[in-house]
Amino acid sequence: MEWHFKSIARKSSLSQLPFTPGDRVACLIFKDVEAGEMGRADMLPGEVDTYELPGEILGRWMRVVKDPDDESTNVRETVASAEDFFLSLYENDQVDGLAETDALKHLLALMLERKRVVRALGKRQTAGTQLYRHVKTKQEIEVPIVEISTDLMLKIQDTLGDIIL
Amino acid sequence: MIFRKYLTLTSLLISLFFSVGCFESIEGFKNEIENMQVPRLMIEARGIDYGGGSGSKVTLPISGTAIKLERDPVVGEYDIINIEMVKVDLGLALLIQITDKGSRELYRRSVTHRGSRIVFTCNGQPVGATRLSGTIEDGQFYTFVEIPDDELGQFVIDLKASIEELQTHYKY
Repeated sequence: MEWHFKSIARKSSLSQLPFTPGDRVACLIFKDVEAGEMGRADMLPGEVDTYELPGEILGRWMRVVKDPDDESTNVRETVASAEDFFLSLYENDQVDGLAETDALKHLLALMLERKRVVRALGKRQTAGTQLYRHVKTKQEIEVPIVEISTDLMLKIQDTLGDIIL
Repeated sequence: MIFRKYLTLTSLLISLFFSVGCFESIEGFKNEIENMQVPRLMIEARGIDYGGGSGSKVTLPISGTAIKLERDPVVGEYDIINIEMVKVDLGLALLIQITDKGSRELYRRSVTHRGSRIVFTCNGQPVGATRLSGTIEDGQFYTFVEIPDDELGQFVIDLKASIEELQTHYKY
């Protein structure tokens, strides 16, 4: 399956209305069955229920639209978005085991470990699975360890850049 | 009266003796490392700085390659436990051995920053860069450095002495 995300959206995928700085935006990552690709849709939270996803949802997070002229960044918000997305990858059991989902779980777990949002438990694994504890909820999460190629990493970075830590 | 004079003179002499001793030991301590090299592994900042963590741009001394780095090191001086000069097919390189804590961070970065470059710096100056092309699991990092081969031996000797010093006198 190809990774074919749209770049970070400036307008709603449903209403096509442009986002304005300060808007809260729901970002959805889905598996487009017909196109055989992974997709991303950004929209206002009120539009989520009416939007028909072209495939099953893999994960989601919320972001706040920044002023393009404002270079200041809020690391806490980025971490919160990455945390939301990471946890949402475990909400839909049906998509467990997808290579792309596994890659995202692995990647996000390592990023969130650095930010002390999750903690690796037991011996540090570099193959198979690694058990993590989500610090806030004490929930234990099993994360698959998968090889992420440079190409895939660049695609992820280009398209999910707003939550890459 | 005479006794008080002698007492003052004696205490002055004793103070002088200890002061000289202290200065000698400070001087001796300073001279232990003539050419202190503080090694660090830094990482290239991503194209888009969403996290606001990027620091300054550095330029490698021979190639002139400019790389924008993140502000904080991936592996700091206290987590580098040894450096060896090694000969590989393409020439002389450095093998940097890292503590368990540093190894975990290097492993994380080798996954999450695949494709980015790790820059080896000494005293804040870049001396070599290597692109992350695979995961690094064993805490052993190899890099080429932009230092002439005939100076590399002394550079490694200085690095080893500095690491020993950092691991003993400066470690908290």
